[in-house]
Amino acid sequence: MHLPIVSIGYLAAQRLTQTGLQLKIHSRFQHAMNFIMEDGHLLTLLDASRYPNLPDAVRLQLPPSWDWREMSGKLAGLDSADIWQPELRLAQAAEKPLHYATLADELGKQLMESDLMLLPGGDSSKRQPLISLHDPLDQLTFQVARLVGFGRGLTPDGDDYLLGYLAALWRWQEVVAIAGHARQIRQIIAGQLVWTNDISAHYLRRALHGHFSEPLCDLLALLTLPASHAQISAATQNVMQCGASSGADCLAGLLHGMRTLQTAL
Amino acid sequence: MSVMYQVFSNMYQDSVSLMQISAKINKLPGIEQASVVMGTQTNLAQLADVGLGDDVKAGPNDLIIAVMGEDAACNDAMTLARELLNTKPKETSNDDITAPKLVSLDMAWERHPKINLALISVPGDYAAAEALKALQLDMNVMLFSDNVSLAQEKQIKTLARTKNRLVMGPDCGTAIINGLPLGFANVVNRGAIGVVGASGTGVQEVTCRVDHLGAGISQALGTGGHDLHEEIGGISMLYGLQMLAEDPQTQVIVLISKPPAQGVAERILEQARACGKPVVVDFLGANAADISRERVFAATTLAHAADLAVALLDGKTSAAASVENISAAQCRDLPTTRQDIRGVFAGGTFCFESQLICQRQGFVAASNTPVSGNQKLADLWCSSGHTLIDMGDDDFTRGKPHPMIDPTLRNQRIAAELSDPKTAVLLFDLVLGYGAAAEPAAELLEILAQYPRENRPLLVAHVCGTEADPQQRSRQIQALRSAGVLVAECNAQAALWASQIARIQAAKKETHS
Repeated sequence: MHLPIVSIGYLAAQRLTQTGLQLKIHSRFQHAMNFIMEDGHLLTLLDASRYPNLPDAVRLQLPPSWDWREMSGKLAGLDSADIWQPELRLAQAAEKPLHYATLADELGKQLMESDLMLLPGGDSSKRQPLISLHDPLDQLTFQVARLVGFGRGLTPDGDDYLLGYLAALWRWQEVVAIAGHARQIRQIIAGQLVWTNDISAHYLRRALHGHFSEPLCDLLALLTLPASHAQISAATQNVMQCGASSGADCLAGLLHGMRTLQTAL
Repeated sequence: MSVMYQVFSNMYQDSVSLMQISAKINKLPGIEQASVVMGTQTNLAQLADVGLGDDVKAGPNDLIIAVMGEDAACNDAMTLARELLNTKPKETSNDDITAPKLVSLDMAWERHPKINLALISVPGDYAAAEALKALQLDMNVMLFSDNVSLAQEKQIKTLARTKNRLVMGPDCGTAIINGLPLGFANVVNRGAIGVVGASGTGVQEVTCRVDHLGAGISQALGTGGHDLHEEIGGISMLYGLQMLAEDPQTQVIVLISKPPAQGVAERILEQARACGKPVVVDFLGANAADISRERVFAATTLAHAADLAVALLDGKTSAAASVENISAAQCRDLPTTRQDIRGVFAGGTFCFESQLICQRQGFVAASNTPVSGNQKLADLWCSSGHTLIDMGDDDFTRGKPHPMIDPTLRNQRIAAELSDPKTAVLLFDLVLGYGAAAEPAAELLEILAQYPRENRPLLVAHVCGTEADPQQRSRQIQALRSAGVLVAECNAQAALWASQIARIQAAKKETHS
């Protein structure tokens, strides 16, 4: 069976042009399949009707009854497929992150099962992420350690939350008021990836270098634009669509990051 | 009260499945609490904190299912969890966490503001209204639906023109947009040849042949069969031509249609001449001299259009023609009583083109969709003399699936033609690609097997598809050839071969008399 390629993430496209690429099957799901490469990064095949673009993913047009756990096929149209490449501009110090209230409102409207307190003042029986701009290193390290690998889901709640936090900081990483904290938190997370599973570690590792999913990139791009409520709301919904609670955890982390930015800028 | 857990080593399940399992075992009577988590250090610590196991040995890539409750309930929960882990998740069972279903174009646009194309496939009565809604949202439209009046089509396309949007259709069954096949389309290489066609199978034939020749398609745009009617004025073809002219990836453009109204043809050809790129035009059956002009090249067949486009891409202005012919030896075993060409087609344009070619070769035929100079078939269900039938026409598809989707009716007609002692050659097409039958040759071969080779007409077929199609062209061809079918490279060649067989048979009859 030939499987037409709909689009390829920019990192996957780079990988697939390498000669002598060694791929081993890592994990199979109904609608997705992961290969692991020699350097530990994953290359993912996705059902294009269900998943958005990811930096390391190849999106395919699959028959409706397709199940990667039982089926295999041959990729078609590799040379001519569209390559997804986001254009995320770094923000200036004078640019403040916008739309916090809309994002928080969207998160609050959706009932999500998470082991984390997703918004300040939320369910106090859940673990509350406590990361602050001026936390000393040991305090920050302790807080990150409480989150890495913590919670339900294939990508645990805590990992998704941290990914969202990294995403919020990414565009302001060179602004002096935030640069030190951003660098520090990246270093801490990088050192703790061994404490979560391969798949979640992969997404966090990519996030450390500014590589995010298409819905997240779209939302990040809007954070400095005077977009309409409908646009922000739609972009937020797209982020929350990911996984069971991953999208909501990620959005909560992003909101946490925006609060940090508001403190700093 | 007991605690039970199980570690599933290197077990990955998507989060939705994990949530479902967790929800189901939590709901079991007698279960106090349950947890389904990956075995990370933080989760192990959490399990210990809540009393779900303080000695669990697991790594971050292991899945842990832990339950607390009555003994029997815990056993039941673990059994259920194991079953669920080995069961396919239901397609739409995200419980309470799914977003609302998209039930309107507005909702889709709000959710995905980047959408700029709506594919509309609703009953004809509603199609025009949906198309207008899509245009109001600044989307281009592919209107798969049929039974839209000319007046509605004009209204839709006029609005589209004012908004600089393309409307493909009504009754547009084929398009390839940014490499994605839509409707009945094939998996072809991407490349520098852009196609605008008023005929679905015509677009399929050209795009597939371009692929066979090693080139590729930038975009293939459909217009619907009525676009070149005088009343519509070719709005979609003109705009599609403009889009391809402005598209940096497109270097050569191919236009395909049955002969348009004269005024419409002139407007299209003039825009083609002025567009700055070489344009190949196949207005099926039109006079080449009326088409050719500066940078506009007339093609005589669909295959020739593809050949010419690829040649132009290579800097040449003509394409070599195929010279393979049918020999008298191949007809040696056919009795002289077998004189008729019988064509049974799934593709309407293949029927149309075959009629033109047979007619040029001197064989006037009957058809349910006759070209100028051919006759209307007196009885739809019974062939007489040379007969070429479009089984995809409304005559046969009203209330039934198109023969490209379900070839049952077409195969029955093939069986009828095979049984007729007057049939000299049975001509048919096999259309592959998305939307087409999964194994189009298989059922046909069962029918052919019922007719011994020495007691049946010659069979000539053409397979429209590519190697990358789900049905794989070479596999279908091989199956047909193994059953004694002569498989041509293109529809035009198949029709030519059928004519040659009829001529050989006619000559044999003359000699005998």
